[in-house]
Amino acid sequence: MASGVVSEQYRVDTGHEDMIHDAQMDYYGKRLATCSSDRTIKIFEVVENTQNLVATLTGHEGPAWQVDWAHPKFGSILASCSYDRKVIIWKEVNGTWNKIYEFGEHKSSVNSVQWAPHEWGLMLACASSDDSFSIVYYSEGSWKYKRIENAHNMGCNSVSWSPAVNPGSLVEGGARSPVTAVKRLVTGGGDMLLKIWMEENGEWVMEEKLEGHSDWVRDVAWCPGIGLPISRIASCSQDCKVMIWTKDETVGGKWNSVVLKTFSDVVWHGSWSITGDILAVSGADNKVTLWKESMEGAWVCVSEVDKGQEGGTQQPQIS
Amino acid sequence: MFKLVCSRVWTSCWGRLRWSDPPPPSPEESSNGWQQWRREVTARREAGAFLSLRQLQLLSRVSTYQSPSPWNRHDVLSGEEEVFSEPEIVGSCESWYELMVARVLFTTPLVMSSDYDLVYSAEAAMKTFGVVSPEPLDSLLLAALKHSPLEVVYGAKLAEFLIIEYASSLLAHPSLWQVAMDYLSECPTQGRHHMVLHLERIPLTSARKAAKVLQLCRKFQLKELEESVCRVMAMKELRSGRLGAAFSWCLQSQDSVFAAFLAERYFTSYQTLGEFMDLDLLDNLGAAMLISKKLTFLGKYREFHQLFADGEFRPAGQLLVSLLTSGVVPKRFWLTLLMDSLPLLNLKDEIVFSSEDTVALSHCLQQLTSSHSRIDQSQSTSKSHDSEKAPPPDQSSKLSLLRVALCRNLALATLQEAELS
Repeated sequence: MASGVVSEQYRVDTGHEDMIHDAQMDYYGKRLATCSSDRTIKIFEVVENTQNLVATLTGHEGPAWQVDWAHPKFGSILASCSYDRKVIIWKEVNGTWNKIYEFGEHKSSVNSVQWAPHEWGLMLACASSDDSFSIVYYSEGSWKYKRIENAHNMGCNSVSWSPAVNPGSLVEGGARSPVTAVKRLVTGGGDMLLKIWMEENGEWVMEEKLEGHSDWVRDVAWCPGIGLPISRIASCSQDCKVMIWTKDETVGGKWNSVVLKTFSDVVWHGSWSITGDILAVSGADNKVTLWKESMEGAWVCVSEVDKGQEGGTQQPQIS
Repeated sequence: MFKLVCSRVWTSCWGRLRWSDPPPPSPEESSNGWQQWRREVTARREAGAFLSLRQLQLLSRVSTYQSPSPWNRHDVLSGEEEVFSEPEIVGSCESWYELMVARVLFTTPLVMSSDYDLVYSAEAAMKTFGVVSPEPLDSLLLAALKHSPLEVVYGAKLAEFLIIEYASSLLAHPSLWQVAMDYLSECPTQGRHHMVLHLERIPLTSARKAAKVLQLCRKFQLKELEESVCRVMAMKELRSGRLGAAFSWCLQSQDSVFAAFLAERYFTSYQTLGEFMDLDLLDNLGAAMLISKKLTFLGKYREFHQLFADGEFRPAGQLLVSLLTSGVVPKRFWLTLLMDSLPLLNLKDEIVFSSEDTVALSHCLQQLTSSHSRIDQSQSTSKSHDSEKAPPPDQSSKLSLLRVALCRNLALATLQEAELS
């Protein structure tokens, strides 16, 4: 069942001097942050169909791989990670952007960074090629971190937080679903595995190992929850496949996987919409495709964007 | 036998109303005839005319069944409800919709399909009939009564899916998001979550937009989101220094936690500036004062200042003492309040505070100075040369002034009370 999805697209000329690796819109969709191999991060204000450059952040000594906006309740905060082994946290105060913290405990390139759900405070996770991932958080006036070593054998490529809402906690009327006390995230690594980690008594332990890919897992994305008793993760891999992992609490709570599609080339990134019903996938085949689950449980491509020209497309973003 | 009696009664009843010649009776006329007949049957039943035959008694109850008023339809214990649950009645119906039709017929024969009562009757009949899990036909009929064509044609799950699809596409348009919310509200299982997720991300670019979002929050009872939006707007005002406007946002959502935070900010600004900002907001707080203890304190404190300005020293003094002794005031503001009592203590011709009040005030002062000296001690042990020794010089002079004034007042008050007794 294909629905007529109205899609608008327009090009953003960023002025970066090299490849752009990531682009993220903020919570309200008013600003765009891009990061590039030219070691800078650029911030744009998006108004209707135009954008203007607001700031260029320099500080990384190598290509910046990913950026992520924190929840607006903490102010204007952005995190970026780079090949130079650092995660830098930037904050906007009165219109100017400054570096407020630099995390440099990793021994190799930091490949991925993501802020945790705001319910758990100002906290982020970052994954590195040195086989470990870290949790960096702000507590009692200072920045602290926890490093989890030997997470994956051939480097951690990606990290994604689970939503803060308990699956299956749809509540009628009045209050929102209660926030779950257990923090979870998923990492994908060069050992072809996805691993689900949970925090137990202040320590991070591996809860599950998901096998299915036959090459490096390049990106993982945990689907935002809407209170239904289903958890879902999308994983993109060097083996040209995108897999959807689903855990249904009502039928036993085990992770089952289905292959969304086998593409013609490496799949680099996957990203869910805020309500978790559309998945955007981009890969070396130069296309960005949007996928939706139909009523019968099959995944249907609802839109295809040919990004064109040189290079592969790196990161689609839906807000 | 029972069915035969039914049909006979039925025919006779409609016989009275039926005219052989047209025109047929108007709804009002037939309704009147109907009511009259019912009254007669009720009277005869109460007189015991039907006691000889049980089925006749039952039938008379059925035909004179009075449904409970639509405004308290949960009042099931009216007694008359039971007649339709009688096993004979239920047993003579082949399915729940026969029961529903019977019920509707005997209560509101002139019902229109647009009346919502039909859905209620349908659900009640299903319950009486013991339908636990509705068959497809049952859901279909119910959906038809609810006038939701999507649901009838597609079934409930797909209908919801389609509505959410459409609403999501509307959201892409800058001014149609309110319409999208109305659509989402029709989706029983997933609509609410989608609504909250999308409403959260509407950029609050202006007060009008925020007001629109708040109106939707109130309409759909999204209390947490309402509080969140008000907080965002209030913080924006706060950053521009407009404390009064921040307060007005906070009070809109009755957010007690945020009100406490703002009240503290307000009082701190009063301490630094020496005067109240945005007085008209504070004066018109009214009942809103009670949402937070700190806000109550602020309102009362303003009242104290007004009483003082109006020259009502005694009530002002009483208010001040009650504020200090009630525990509503955080300790760090005590000195300010005590200093406010100084002019009242030094009045030439009037003794505002009784001896008891003076003792209470002295007690507060004592607590303050002892906590200060404790801080002083701990500070001196941790740092050897600390230029800031609590209490600072201007504070110690204030404290000594207070002590002198309190002692004098105590003496005068005791004398006065001794004279009076």
